[in-house]
Amino acid sequence: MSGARRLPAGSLIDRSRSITFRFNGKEYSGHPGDTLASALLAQGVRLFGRSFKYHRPRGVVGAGAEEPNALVQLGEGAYSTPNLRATQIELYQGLTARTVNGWPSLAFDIGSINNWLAGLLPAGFYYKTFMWPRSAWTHYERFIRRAAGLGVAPTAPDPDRYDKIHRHCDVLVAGGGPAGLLAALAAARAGARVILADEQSRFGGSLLYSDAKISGESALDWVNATVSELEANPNVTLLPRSTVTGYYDHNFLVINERRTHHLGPGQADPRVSRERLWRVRASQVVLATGAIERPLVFEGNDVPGVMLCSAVSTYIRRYAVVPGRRGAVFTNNDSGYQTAVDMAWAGMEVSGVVDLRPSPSGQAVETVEALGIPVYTGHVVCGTRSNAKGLKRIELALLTDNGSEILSHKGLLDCQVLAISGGWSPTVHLHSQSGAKARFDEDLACFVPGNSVQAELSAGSSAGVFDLAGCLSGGVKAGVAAAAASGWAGATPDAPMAKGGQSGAIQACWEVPSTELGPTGTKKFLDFQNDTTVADVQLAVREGYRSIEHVKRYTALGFGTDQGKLGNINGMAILASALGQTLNQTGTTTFRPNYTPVTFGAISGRAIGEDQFDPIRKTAVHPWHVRQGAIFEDVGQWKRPWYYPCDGEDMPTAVNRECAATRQGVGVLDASTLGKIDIKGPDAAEFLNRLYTNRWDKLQPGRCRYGLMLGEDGMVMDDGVTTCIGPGHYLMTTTTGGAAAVMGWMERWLQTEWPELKVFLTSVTDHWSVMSVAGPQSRQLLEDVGCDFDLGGKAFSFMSMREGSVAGISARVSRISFSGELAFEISVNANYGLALWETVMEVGQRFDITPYGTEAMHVLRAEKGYVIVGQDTDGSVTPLDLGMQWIVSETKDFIGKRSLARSDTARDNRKQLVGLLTKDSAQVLPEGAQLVNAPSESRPVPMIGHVSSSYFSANLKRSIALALVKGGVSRMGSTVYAQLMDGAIVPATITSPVFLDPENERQRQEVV
Amino acid sequence: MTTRLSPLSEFKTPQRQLGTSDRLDCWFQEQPFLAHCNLRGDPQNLDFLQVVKKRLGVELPLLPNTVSSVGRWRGCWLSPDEWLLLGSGRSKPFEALVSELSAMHHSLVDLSGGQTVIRIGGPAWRDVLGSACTLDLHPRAFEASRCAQTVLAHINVLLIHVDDDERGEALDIVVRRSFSDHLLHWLIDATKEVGFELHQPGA
Repeated sequence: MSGARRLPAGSLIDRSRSITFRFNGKEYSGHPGDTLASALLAQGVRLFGRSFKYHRPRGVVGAGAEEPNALVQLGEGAYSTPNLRATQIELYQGLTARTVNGWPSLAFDIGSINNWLAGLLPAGFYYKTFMWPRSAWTHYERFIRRAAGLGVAPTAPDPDRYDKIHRHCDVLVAGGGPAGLLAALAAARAGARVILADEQSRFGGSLLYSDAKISGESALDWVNATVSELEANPNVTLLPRSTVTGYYDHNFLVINERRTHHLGPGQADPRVSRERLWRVRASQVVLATGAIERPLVFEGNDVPGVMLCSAVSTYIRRYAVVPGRRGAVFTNNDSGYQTAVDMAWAGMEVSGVVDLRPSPSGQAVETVEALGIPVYTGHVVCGTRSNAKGLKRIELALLTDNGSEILSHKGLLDCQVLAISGGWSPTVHLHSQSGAKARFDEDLACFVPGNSVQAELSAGSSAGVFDLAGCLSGGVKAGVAAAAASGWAGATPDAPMAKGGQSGAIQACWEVPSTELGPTGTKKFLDFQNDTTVADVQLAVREGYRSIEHVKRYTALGFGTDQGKLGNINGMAILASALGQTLNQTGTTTFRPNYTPVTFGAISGRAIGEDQFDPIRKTAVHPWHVRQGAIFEDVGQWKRPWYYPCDGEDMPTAVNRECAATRQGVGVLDASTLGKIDIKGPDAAEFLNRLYTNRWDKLQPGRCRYGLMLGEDGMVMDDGVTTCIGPGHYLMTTTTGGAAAVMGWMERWLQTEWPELKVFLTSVTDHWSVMSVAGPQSRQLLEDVGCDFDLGGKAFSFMSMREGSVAGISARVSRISFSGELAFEISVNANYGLALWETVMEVGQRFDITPYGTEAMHVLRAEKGYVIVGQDTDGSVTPLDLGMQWIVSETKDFIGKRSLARSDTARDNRKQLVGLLTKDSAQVLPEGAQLVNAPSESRPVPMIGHVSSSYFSANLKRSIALALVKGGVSRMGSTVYAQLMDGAIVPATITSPVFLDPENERQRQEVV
Repeated sequence: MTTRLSPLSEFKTPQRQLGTSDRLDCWFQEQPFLAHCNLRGDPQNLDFLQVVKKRLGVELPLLPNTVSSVGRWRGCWLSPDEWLLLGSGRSKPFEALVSELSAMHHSLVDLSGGQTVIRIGGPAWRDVLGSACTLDLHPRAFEASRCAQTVLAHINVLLIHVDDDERGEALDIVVRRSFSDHLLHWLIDATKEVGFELHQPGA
């Protein structure tokens, strides 16, 4: 038995209530206020997991974010979360957890054979062993991944809600220990807007396990009073259970708030988000993130029962857990002595304090000695003895005077718990993330914050101040300074008083010398989660690694879910020593966000699912389309009717019906989604001349013209019809998907290249509701609907626009056609769009009017050989490739013109737009199909082009396709072959891309 | 008589939903059929500024992100040479303005069919907006006569601080018609914890 038990009184747990939970299938109980780790420790559980590589048994080492071993898979099914630290999981009724490593069971882990094969698994063994031959890696990988363990992602969708909030503040304080609380208080009293975030469930930090007095009251009373004052201040936002996980440019920080985890799955109000990601822009930041105790590195230091001093004190004082019957302390600084006091206070037998300093002195030492606890000065723990349940004994040795070697062995001490302290490492993670560089302080033997790069300052132990009085006064000072720097200079409150004598100096120790008497090959672990040892780092150096970043990747030091919070500094020091460098020369690895892992749920927030991932745009006529049962297609962010099935029609039947009706009677399309840009100014025509390939200076008011826009590379970028509204006033239409990009493109040229042009642009896409009425009966329909102007072909010719009234609604009507039929495009203020549509549909009943969707629109335009930019072009197609040289002016300059003369764009045998007719007229080629000259060519078969558009044409009673084919225009009548995914080879004949009415007689219809 | 329909006239949702404290701490209301006009012109041209002031009564704000409001018109600064004019009532003061502006380089474009305004108020409106808005909307930073263009849930919007006579401090969100339905759904989803109530236009 380890002798673990719970103290009968005191601490921050609520003994009046019990909580039952399951760990690795076995039932346990704990109390509100417990963590999973504290509840298990109280019941004598010592084995929490297996290590990553050697599958060695591991126990809990820490009590917070630094914990490398006690990783669990928490919860079941959709609520399951992998790799959480048992030290940070608040206990709730019904909690279930299992260790992430250990197969088939934690007690008997088959992988622990690696422990005996360790000699074959040195640092970099993946690279040395499994990467050769390369092809074998895919074989090994499955087994290695499984053996490596760690948790599993849930397979069901996350049932919880996650959200985000954006916030600005004057002072953000990260960490709510003594320094952070006072910094927040000082800044708040000065009037600043303050956010105080702390990763724990309650504020207080180290005071939660301290017996210190502050201004005469207990530390906890002081914390409660301080939090109450902060809570009452409307300018203060208090965020417990909230980790400041990232520090980015311009004082932008991200806080991960866990709001309902502690209640257990499904227990919270479903309206409340499980996690909230705070995105904070802070004028000033105070980092009061505390410090993480460092382990001492000695042989056998990974045995369950070896714990940080601060963790032992935390379990005793905060959770009333006595972690074992008998304990010992191994330290190189004064703070270990407090743990000996805490152990004695909890009724543990304390076998001794092993202090590697030759002659420590001062109050800490005196207090311990007064308790009758033996102090072994100048001694080290050089080895451990353990059984299946963990630590049983430690081996003592005396150091030589200079501390570099072991002088003599001094026997064994009984203990189930060894509390170790190798000093403290300030939590400089956020400071480093902000862009600053931590510097090594030789006196304190730790990295402390360097010069600030952003508006931040550190206070308390994260600044390297390790005494309570210093943390309190430092917190006040930081809060006052941060508030003043953000414009809130107030009176400086007095720092509360705390007793505490001068503490003795630390004696840095990165590695306890090896002992010749110890079992050979016993490892000194640096990184428990990745099983990186001192020998691994030294091997990396022998193999030529010099940079800390390379050594990290070679040895896996500091990888893993804990990111080396515990072991990194020791590892860097070992590396520095092996390289003969100072720690400042070796430096640290880069500290990257996030400080602790953040769930994907928190990162995505509410931007999930079809409704909220991306905006959905709807036209004014959308409700009608819905009522009509339209099937929608996403075009950019728009919902456009794809087709309108009647009475259970399938898609081909509906599309064929819509196409035939439009060619034979009258069809109607909601064309509101096209981009529309109002262009105004005396230089508007010149501007259009430069943008489009054709000329615009002669276009008269009331006339429309088609334009093609190229990028600077000469490739087709957008197209559309532009109408001259009046002198110096045009309305451009763009493709639906390209509207925003084209608007930005035009503004860019106006603002950066041609500021001399007097032109103003305004996006009017949403203002106009546009319906395209197409088909031989469209003119008759409009006459019946009622227009106050002559619709006849002489008065209102093709490619012109009239302003007037349609069905009593003020409208612009254009005779433009994308279907090749006689067509009228009616634009009205979108508030009247639905009214106009419904009127036209009602009057249209006598013409059997047919609404058609984007699919029929595509078929109709393909029959005419009209291209769709982005479908028949892909950014590598020039107007000449499309056979549109007629629209490319030779008498003026325009964007992209020079590129058309480049050798590659001007060469023969470029891919050109052609039509394709399959030999089997019923066969519709898949879009994207690759084309070859002959099916029997030797490999690699040269690809000569691809199908860009392909449909069944009801009007032509056969399939048609558009394709881009090398030298296609000169190959009319020849046969190419489409290679399909299923292996079929389909022959097709190259034809003109215009399949219907090449003379354009249908759409012109100049004579009534 | 043809019916005109504002962008949110067919918006479908429950009228109200209580928050976790059984309260309705946020309300929304469409402000339909306002005159929305985008005006561009040279702010150095005093004649231009004069003409607008004479015809609309409102002085074009030259200070970035501010609004000047006189009578039925609000002029919102959008860029150094661009303003949004928002008019209430069935005002059509434009013929005179257009003819007087015709002599100078300008652009006055009617966007009345293309935009609408969602007014949001109630004690929790800042928190609801905060779920999407990266700007500082704290009263110390965003007060009366301020406006700002930003992105809410990937949607471009113009935010205008308003003092709603009866309902206190509120915010007008000018949004394009096609996005308005999506944005309002998105904002209502953000009120799950505080609750919301939809006020009918003109109510």
